[in-house]
Amino acid sequence: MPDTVDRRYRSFDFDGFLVHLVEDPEVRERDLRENTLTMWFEGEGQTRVILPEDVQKYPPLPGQPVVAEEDKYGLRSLIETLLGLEFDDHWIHTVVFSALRHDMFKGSRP
Amino acid sequence: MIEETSGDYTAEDLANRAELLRSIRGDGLEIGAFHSPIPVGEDARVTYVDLLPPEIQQRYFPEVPEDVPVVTPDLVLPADDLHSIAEGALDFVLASHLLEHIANPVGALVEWHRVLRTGGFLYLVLPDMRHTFDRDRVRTTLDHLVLDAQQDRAHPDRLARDAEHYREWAGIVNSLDDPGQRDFWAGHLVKIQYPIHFHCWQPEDIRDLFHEIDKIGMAHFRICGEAVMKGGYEFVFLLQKV
Repeated sequence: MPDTVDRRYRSFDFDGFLVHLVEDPEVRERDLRENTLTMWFEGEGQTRVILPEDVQKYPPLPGQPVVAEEDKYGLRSLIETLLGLEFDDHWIHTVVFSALRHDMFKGSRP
Repeated sequence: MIEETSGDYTAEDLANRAELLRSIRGDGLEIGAFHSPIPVGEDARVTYVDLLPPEIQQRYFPEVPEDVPVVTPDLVLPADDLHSIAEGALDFVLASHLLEHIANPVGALVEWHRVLRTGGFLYLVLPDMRHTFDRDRVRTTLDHLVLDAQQDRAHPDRLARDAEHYREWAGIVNSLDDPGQRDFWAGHLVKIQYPIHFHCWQPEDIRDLFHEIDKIGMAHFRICGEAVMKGGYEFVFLLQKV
């Protein structure tokens, strides 16, 4: 399904699932500021805020090249960038998981 | 995400490889063995060198299954800066499918020449661009390689050439036709220092390269043997430091 936007949600496929990004301007601004991702979970009937540490499953390893702080991504800003560039589900998944493996999300560490 | 079209080694390939590897004896290095170390004989004592330990390599190459055995390096060093190894200390250096991943391959060859004793051997395996995902890329010229060696990695022209390699990789190897998508992914690969194939070659390019670096006095190797393997997918050079 292509990226679709209504007043409340921006919906797109991620890893085979349809996910809904909350579009409320205040929520969006907070997401961008705090590097979070606020999503509507249809099955749960509720909104949840995804934090960088919630998604980070790959701890940095000794000797792993460190990505410069200015090269790291905010969660929402990366997703919006990828959607803006019209990447498909496969590519969104590829970029996000590459970013996770290389510890590239701002705020994923204390 | 990336698929190569490598075939299997034929019986003739294996015989050719065994013949070339007969010269590999004594003490030496294999650089960048990762999941496919070169099968040397019992007379060869190999120290394994890699830029990164295997658990980090797996993050760069998630397409390599986790249950595939990988070599744990004895030394973690960049291929083109073996500073802890003395000049002329080694009988051999082995590098398989590595040189194309190095931004300045001449710099690496000069460094490998340094650590070899006179008469020591370099065993080099490279993919032939015509048989890999590089087939539609621009064939690297000799001038380009020499320029990469002459310009520091922070030189603006060198940075621009390296950036162009990443864009070419994103566009051709990763099939991103859209310029915005291509540039984003190329930038991402630069950020994580993904070891793309910076350069791509055919066997005669490598022959020319060794003649050139000998001529301009950067490293003196004699080509002792060559073989084409896996139906043309890869080619091998056995070189001797003179």
